[in-house]
Amino acid sequence: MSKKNAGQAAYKTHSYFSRYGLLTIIAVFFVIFSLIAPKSFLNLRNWSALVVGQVAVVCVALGAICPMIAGEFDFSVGYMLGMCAMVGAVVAQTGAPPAVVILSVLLTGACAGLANGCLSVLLRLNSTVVTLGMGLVYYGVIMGISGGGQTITGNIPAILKTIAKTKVLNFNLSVWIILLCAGLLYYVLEHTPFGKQLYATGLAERASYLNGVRTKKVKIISFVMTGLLIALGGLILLGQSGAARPNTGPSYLLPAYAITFLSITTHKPGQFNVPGLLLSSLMLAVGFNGLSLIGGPYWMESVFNGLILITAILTTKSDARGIKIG
Amino acid sequence: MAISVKNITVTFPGVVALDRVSLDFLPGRVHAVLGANGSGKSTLVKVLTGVYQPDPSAGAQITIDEKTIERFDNPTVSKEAGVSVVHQEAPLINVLSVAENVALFKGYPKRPHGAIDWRALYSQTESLLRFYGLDIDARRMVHSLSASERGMVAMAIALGKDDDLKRTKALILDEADASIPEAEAERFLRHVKGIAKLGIPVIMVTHRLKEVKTICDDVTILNDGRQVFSGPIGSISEQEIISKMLRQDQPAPGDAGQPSGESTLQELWALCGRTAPPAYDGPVLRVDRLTAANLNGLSFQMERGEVVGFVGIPDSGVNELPMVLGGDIPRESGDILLAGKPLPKRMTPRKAIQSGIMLQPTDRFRQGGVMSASLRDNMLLPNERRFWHKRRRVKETMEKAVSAFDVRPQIAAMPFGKFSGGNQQKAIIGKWLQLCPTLFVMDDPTYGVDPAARQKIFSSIREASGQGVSIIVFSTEPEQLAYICTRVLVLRAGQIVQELSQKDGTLTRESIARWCYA
Repeated sequence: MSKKNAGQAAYKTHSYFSRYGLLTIIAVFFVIFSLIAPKSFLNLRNWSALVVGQVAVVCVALGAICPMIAGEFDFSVGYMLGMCAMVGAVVAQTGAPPAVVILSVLLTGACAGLANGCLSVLLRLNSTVVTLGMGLVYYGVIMGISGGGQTITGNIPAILKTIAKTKVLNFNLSVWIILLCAGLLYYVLEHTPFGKQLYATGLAERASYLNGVRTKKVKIISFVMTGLLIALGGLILLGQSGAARPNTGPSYLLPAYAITFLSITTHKPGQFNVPGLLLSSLMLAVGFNGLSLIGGPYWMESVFNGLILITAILTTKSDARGIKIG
Repeated sequence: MAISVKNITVTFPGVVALDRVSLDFLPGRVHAVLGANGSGKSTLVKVLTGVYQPDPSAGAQITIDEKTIERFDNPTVSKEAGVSVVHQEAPLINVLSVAENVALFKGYPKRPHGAIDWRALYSQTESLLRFYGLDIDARRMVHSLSASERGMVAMAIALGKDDDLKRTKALILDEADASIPEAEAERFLRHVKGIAKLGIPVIMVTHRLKEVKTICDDVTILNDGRQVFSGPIGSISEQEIISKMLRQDQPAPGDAGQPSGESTLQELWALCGRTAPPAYDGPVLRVDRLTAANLNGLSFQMERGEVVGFVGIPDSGVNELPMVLGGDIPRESGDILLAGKPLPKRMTPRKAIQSGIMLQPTDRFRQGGVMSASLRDNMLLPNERRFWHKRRRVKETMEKAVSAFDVRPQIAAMPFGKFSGGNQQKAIIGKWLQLCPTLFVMDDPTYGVDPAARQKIFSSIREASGQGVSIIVFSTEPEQLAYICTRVLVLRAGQIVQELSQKDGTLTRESIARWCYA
């Protein structure tokens, strides 16, 4: 979309496939599964379920993408998600009002993000290592506050459950909330000075610094954004399952990064971006949904996601593949 | 054991990098190859090391060890024929010991079951170092070596001893002395001389004229790909060497292209929310007893709209001064006053930009631009806030800037890395000039830039200075400073040792060249 502000002669940076490849794959899946299993695949309830299953993963991925754009890597997203949900459940159990529960979850996320950001940026540590370490710390916190790894239920604020259950225009409210957040993040990343600086920092930190970008500040903010988005994911998770389980969070790490990396195959080829992320998640969901409808086994999801990720990255141009992490 | 080349011609699209160069490098003699940047020195080295192949149509011949061939097909062929080369940054691995660096070239000695025989490695390395008279422990880490020790170790590794040494037919030092400080240079050069005495022709590509005079036996001067002189060092004076090194294609003073309309810059300034630098009585820039990395109590002043050049050899402080002014390297003491206002002690590039000092760094690739971001994103990066939600202003600014600074192709969405070096440089210079700096610091603006872009850059400098922007230019092609500067200051050991100015007639191409090569 940055093409538009350029206002100059159009420059074809990328081939058809690198721009619309994901959409094409989704269309192909759609046609195939519609033909094979028209009744079960082509009905609104199926689509509603398909999309709602992606909400928490997308939320984590939206969080993960911010430091990635700035050239850093947050390994702790999974544990952070678990910690946010657990803090919410524990606070709720004490009988605190819903507002306090929600605020405490958001605060937990923001603090965890700030800690990750400050440690890796101010102390100049490798962010992969810092967040790996912090992830373990967060896991310890989960275990600690859950009384040794118990599932915490009870008194989860009704509003969270309502958001998870209520449907608007066939889709759950949580889907719309995530879409709204994604839209907001997209706007921030691609249409504000901050977003431009974030991308520039990730692409060439030294050059950005010499251009007057406060690269450290920009990076720390990106980690805090991660924390807030993941806190949101934690709230949604609480609402969906009505409980916080100690081992839920970490399982989101790899799926979230799979769609984060897939995002570079479309929209802004070679760079992490929000529209690409949403499309990637839709593609994986449609693919897996179709496969399971035609009788694929349950373990198929991970295998399918993994193989698609590797194939999709292979199809991108080699110069777009040079992704830096850590 | 000699090496000679004949009729070496190398052409790149649009450029003749070497034009029928014929040279003899004799055993036991140190042969200096001199020339300004872009004169063809490094192309010659690349032909000798098999990286580039000479044009066969010109009848190219390379004779090595009495065998004549047309070319080295690739670096391995050249290496096997006995050409050893040591490049500027000696390719040693810092985190390994000297012995392990040796092993990387020669292989690790093994014990019967395949384990590394460390004792053999250390003794081999020590005997190699001793052979070259180097008193360095084989276990020492490479990062603890001084620059000259590094160079000497690299040479020892490149040459080897005994059988390896017999196979060496020529040693090329490709600016291997460039990173060695003056104080250590003598030891290094004596070492080079010693190697030549072993009966090997040494080809020394260098910038340092003084050293050429002391140790070289023969000298060849390249200018714009042509061989303008070849002969024993005794047959040419320093004066003649300098005048032969100067480029011939420079414009006459005052002829750096017509400014592109008086008001273009001012229109751009208005679009970017700036106004022309206010009239200011007295020096716009005052640097007072500045000390920082490599700078020892530097003081100078500049008037509004003045263009001042700086020259000096690498360790004189010329590499650090632009970074200190641009806020990237902290200063230890001393003051910098811009239009009478002292700059804060703790500077960052951001603070420098806000107070009006902007820097065009020398390393375009890593420091100048964000290569995979678009031209638009690059040119507006320091001032994005002004263009938030101002699509029309972006369009207008980009159109104006791109044509005012002649950036081609005029496509704002094209990734910066896809532009040619010259166009990247014009865009970077434009990026800062459109923000109306009080002081614009340019570190080697014409490095790796084609002649047409060079002209455009000169005319941009003139235009901006005419509008009141003070400009400092650092350059590795110091002769060009004679055309764009009113004054040139010579740095040595972190201090200003000489001022050449247009007013008293001391500012000539020859005088600048003498100060920075000799």
